[in-house]
Amino acid sequence: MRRWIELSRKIMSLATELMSLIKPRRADSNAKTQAPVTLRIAGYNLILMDHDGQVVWTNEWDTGGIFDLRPHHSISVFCKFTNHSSNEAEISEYEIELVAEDGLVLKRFGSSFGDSVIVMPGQSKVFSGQWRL
Amino acid sequence: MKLVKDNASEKNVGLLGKGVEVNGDIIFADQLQVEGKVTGRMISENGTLIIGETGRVDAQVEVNVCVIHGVVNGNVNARSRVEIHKASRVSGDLATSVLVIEEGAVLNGAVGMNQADISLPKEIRYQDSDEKIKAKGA
Repeated sequence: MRRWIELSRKIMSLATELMSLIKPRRADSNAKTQAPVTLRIAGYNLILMDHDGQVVWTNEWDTGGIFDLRPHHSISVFCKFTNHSSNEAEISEYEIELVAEDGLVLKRFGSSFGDSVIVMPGQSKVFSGQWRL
Repeated sequence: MKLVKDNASEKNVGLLGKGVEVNGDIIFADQLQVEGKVTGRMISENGTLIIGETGRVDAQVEVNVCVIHGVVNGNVNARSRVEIHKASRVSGDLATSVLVIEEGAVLNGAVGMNQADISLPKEIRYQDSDEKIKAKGA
């Protein structure tokens, strides 16, 4: 009878040890999967490129203060380029960068044109992009 | 002695509380939070308008940043940014440079751009920008 009691105690203690080993792992895995993904955005850049991928023009703007872009948020960015030169500007591709307060690029998205877009001197064009977190 | 002003601590933050109704134009400087009802116009050159969950704005809005958690009936012109959060309802056209929409928000209107014209680029990565602009027929 004693043997049975001792054996059952041993089994219980082993089971407790096993549980203590398993629990922290579960907690860790939950922490990883539930980690919030939030981007703190302070500004954005527009980069215009020609058909060779060379940067033609770039500018940066602030977003009127830092804000958080969280999951289930979508962001649309509208950037206006005005050609103040005396030559036509040929644009084949553009990128919009979302940047943090320290200037770090958090996200980059954009588009390319099959045929280059020509912006005449004095004219403006709006380049827009949308992204979802 | 502090030589630099701490702008954050000196920010003028206004609150239009729940149950308060205003008819007419509201002009503010830094930040205004609306939890009540406003009918008319809301104007701020550099300010932020926050429309809370209980806030209802039947007005033309012209601000720098507009953060919406409540109901807006009217056109919103926000120079820098508009945020439309879940459970909010917006009926009107939006003019802004950055639009953030949270899942669950309702927007009934057109979205366009509002960004100050750029006279000359302040930040340019290429010094010889004129050379980089493609000259056609030159």
